[in-house]
Formats: sequence, structure tokens, C-alpha cells
Amino acid sequence: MIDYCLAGFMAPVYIGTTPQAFLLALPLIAVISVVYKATKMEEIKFAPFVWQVFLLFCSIIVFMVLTAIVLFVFMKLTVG
Amino acid sequence: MTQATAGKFRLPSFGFLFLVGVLGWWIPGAGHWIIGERKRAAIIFISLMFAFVLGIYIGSIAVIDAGTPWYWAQFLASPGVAYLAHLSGSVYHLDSFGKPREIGEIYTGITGMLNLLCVVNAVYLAHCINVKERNK
Repeated sequence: MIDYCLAGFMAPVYIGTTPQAFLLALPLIAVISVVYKATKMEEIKFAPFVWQVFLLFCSIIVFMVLTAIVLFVFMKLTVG
Repeated sequence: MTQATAGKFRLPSFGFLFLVGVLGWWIPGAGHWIIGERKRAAIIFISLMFAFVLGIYIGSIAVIDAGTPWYWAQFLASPGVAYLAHLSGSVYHLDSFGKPREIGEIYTGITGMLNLLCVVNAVYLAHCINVKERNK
């Protein structure tokens, strides 16, 4: 029974070193946004909750992209 | 000692907080469920289970390795993680490497840390219930 349940979890999936691999960050960012807002909002109502989650999701992505740009520029200026 | 009430549970305040914390750790969202925050509990359970299952799907259960520091973050998701570590290490002798392992570790580790946040939040909300009961 355990073997059957774990069958899909016994071998890792293939993930290439491609720019598309960064897309795997999106589900995790979504989960972080949802859980964080679920703990922080005083009352859970569908529309405000979804809006707040969306704002946090976008903020995290924007700041990650900005951080990546800053690091890229820093590396170009220092290492070349 | 004051009595805290949530649903049919009636326990001394410290016992109630302890129960909320332990339940929240064993089953993500259960701490919120027991204090009556059903929507929050469902959102937390579904989100954390999704992230954890996606993590072990990407990297296999070999990403739960008791010999790495990530294990302690993963362990915060539930004590059931220890059983998965036992299965992957001692029963099936699995291993995974490279990017899938990294991503799996990040997903499962962050799930554990998010669950810690939820446990702390559930205990805090339970404490607020205790204070409200005391002031009645």
C-alpha cells in the first residue's frame, strides 16, 4: 500500500538548466503569499483575500526581479 | 486557571495553547481548525500540502534526508516527515542530486517554515480567545 502511494515520489523529475526552470519559483511564491495572508488578515473574505494575495505575489516577483537585475549589473561591473 | 473554549474542547489555558500548537504541527491547519478558524485552516492545509507534495514529487522523497540541515526545516511541516526520512534512507535507500533535489528541498523546507508561522499564529489566536474568555 505504501509502495503504491509513494510510487510517483520515488524518482526525481528531470529539470533542465534552462530559463524556464525559474518558473518553478511561481507556485512556491503563490503558496507563501496565500499562507502569509491567511495568517495576517483579520477576516477571511474571498475578494479581499484574493486581492491581498495577488498584491503580495506581485510584490515578491517584482523585488526578486529587481534583485536579479542589481546582482547582474554588479557582476558585470566587477567580474565583467 | 481560566477555561478556554473552542467547539467542544474545554481545557485549562496552557493545555489549550499546547494542544493548539501540537495539533498545528502534526496536521498543518489543525491548530486553526480547533479554535474555530475553519477557513484559515482549510487554506493553510491545502496550500502547505500542495507545496510539500510538489516538493517531494519534483525531488522524490530522497530530498527528506535526516543528514542535512534542511531536514530540520522540513521536520517543522509535520512529525510524519521523520517517517518519510526513514522510508527514503533506511527502507528504499533513495538518493537524488542536482536541481530537482535543490528545488525539492526548498519546497519542503519552506513548507516546514511556513507551518511554524501558522503554529505560532494559531497559538496566538488561541491566546486571544483565552484572554477574551477571562475578560467575560
